[in-house]
Amino acid sequence: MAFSQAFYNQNSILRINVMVVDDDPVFLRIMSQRLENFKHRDSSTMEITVIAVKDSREALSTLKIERNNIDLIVTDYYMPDMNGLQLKNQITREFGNLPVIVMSSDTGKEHESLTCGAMGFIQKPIKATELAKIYQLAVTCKRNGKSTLWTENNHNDTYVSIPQRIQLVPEQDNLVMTTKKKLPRSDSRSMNSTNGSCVSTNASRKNKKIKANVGSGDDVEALSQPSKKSKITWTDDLHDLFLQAIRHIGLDKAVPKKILEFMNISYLTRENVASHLQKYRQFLRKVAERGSLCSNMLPSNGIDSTYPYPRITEPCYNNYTSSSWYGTSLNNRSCYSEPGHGIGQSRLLSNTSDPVRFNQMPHNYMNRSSTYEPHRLGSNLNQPIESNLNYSSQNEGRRSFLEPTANKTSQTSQVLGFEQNGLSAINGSGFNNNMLISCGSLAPNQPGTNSYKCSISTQQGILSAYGSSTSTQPGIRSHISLTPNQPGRSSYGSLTAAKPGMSSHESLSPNQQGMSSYENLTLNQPEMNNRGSLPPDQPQMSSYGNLSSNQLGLSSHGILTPNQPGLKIYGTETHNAGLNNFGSLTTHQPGSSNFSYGLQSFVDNENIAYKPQPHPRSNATAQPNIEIPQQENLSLYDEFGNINELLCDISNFQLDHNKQQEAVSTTQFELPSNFSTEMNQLFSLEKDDDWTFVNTNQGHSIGETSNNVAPEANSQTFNMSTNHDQEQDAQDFVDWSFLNPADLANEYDFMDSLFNGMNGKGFDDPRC
Amino acid sequence: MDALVAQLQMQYRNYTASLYQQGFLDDQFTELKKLQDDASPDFVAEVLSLFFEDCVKLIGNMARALDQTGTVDFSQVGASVHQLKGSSSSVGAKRVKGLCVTFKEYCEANNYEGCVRCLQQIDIEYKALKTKLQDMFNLEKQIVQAGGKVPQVDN
Repeated sequence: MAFSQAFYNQNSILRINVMVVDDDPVFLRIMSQRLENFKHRDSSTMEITVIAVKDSREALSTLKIERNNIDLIVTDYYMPDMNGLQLKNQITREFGNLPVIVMSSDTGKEHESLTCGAMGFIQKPIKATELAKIYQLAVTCKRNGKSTLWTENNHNDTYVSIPQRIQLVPEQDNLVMTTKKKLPRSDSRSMNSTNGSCVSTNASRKNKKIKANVGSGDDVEALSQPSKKSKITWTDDLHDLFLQAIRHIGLDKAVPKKILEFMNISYLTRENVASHLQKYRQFLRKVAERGSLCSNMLPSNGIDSTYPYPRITEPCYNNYTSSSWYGTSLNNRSCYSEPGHGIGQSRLLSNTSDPVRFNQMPHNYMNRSSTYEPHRLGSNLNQPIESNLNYSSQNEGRRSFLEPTANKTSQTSQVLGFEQNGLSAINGSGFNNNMLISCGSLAPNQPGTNSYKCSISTQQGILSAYGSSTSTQPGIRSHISLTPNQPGRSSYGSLTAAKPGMSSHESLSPNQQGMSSYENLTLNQPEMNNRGSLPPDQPQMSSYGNLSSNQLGLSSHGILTPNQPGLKIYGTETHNAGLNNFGSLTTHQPGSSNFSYGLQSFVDNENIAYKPQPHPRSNATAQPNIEIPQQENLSLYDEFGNINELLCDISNFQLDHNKQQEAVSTTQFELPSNFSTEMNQLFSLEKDDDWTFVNTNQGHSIGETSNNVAPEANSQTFNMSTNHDQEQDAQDFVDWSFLNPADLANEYDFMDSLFNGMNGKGFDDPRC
Repeated sequence: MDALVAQLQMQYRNYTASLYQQGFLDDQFTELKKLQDDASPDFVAEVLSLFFEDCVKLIGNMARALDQTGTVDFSQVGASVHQLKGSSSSVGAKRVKGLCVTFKEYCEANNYEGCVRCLQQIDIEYKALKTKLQDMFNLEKQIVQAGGKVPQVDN
């Protein structure tokens, strides 16, 4: 079977023990033979051993002895003494959630069996095709991958196709059960966990517990953790919860046990968490490395090259963070937009339904060579935090772990001049360093976001850090880090969602600008789902790993894609219009910039005049020509004014709103000459066809709802739905593996090219 | 020898085909034969033995149930009939299975005479099948002894 083969490598043989219970010795003998014969056909990928018992009592006593060795139970319905369902219930009571298939020549028993929680029902006499299904079920059960069996996605998987007779319990039941189970904690979590993902993963288990009317009066018991390791699909929600847990516990103190406790998900085992945690840590490491790598690559005008990580000393960071970062007062700093009020800030403050424009940040940020997001964490956001205070108010509705409150601001203070240390700073909890802290949370500007995890959003510039996310608008769920509101730099893991519907996963993107770096996702407008990174709101920049899409669905992978047009960077999906960048950041409007890492590009902009580079792939890796005037000027405060300018520079990005994906795909992003102004525009949420970044400069005051990028303004049609669909692809990102080294390598190359003025660096689309 | 083998094989084929045609056997029997392989060369014989033993046992149960003085517990009879029905369908004993269906109906109708009649018929039927299958096996043995291979007869 392809299934089993896929599951096991060539050399391993899956051994399955099936217990068959039937009072008919003839049937028992035949069934045993059939099942065992299957192995021969399956090119020895699987071996079935059948344990045949002639009645229920014997079945139970066998189970007592061989509990862990039995993977599947197939039982007849009509038996003297204890019928099949009674046996099933008894098994469940005594041994937990074991898969049981009920057989009978009487089809009337089918519904009853299924509602009682049997994994399937087979009609006797058993056809060969149905036997195959048993086989498949056995494999699935063996893997303990009931999640896959039960997820909606898999529901129709061919390998577990449901023959007419073998039916799985309807999803609803599962849902119901799961929901109940999750109730206690669901409130506290932003997870809409009763959502399909969680539910479905465990539907099977819960299913077994479901006990419908059926006579025996057994109760549904709480699922007991199977002794076997289960194959879990880390859905967004689950990951969210995971990040939350980490944020809560602290990354350095995160141990699987605590995380598991925190998450409190019944079907999750410690092993699941442990392996996920490991992957996560690896991911963070990668990001850090990349960051440093990038930073190394970045020209260091004015950038403190001593810093291992890109530093975002730019004030821009600060600005950016303002909204998103809770603490970071940066937001207030409007690096980006108008002087005096940070773009981020304004956004934040305004926070209303407008998504925070992220824009600003990135640029300034970007200019700094160090914009590498991950590094940003802890980057030098020296910006004063004060503005942050505002945020708290904005976060209503946001459920983030971190309170965006004022305390954040205090944290952000560090920012000024802070060099970022990159990831180290972040770590879930601690940000402290300038960056925004956030651990875990990020202030979403708007309601509805939930940020999670620590986010660190560096203040302005630095985008969020890890784990937190801020969401500016409602509905954002960010996972890790978050990015400042304004500039969306989001770093790592967090997500910002500026507007509704964003769920970013890892990182976040600034609101406006959506820069999101790594892993984050920013969503400004429509629902973005970023996984890895986040794109800023407006422009969606999403860097690495994710994507942001404000308007258009930018989805970027590693890169940040600026606003409007859906820049899609790397690996991510972009929604809306979409630029699809892989690995590069393309800003729609203004000359696309190659953002590989999202921030990077911005930074690059600063330092390098980006030349739009035609990108072979549709990913535009054009480098924005962002001239960022004062790169050297790291002090945030000063920057404010400067920052704005910087932003402006960034706005050179020609986010040609009008240019849709097509344009982007042509990879030509031209950076407007006055990038900065454009950037400003970008940051300011301007809605016009020519989408530019949110135009913070345009009088968005703090009080304004910064998120002008609301769809309404944007002439571009934003198709949430499509994007969203695309977003679903984000599920691909569930796995950290998308940040595979190969991809990273690409980015590095990219950066190289960027810096070396190479043209047409093509990123390999990891998704291709 | 080849001629002998060929002849035996032809005999075998014809005989087996007639069993199918006369309704003694059905597809399930064919499937059963497919399960036999080198790893379990006597699988079919083994299963059939189990079946016939089961027949004896169940028919005995039914007879006892029906032979009760006083009220006959038809449900008990029915349970045995149900079992027999299952077994026979597993091996492909078509006629026996058909009779079981009828028998079950009589049981449900609490038709004593009907049940008794069915019981008698089932008794005759399974014994006849047993004889026929034994003949078939003998032919197979002869073929093998003659150095030939037992032909596959899929009805």
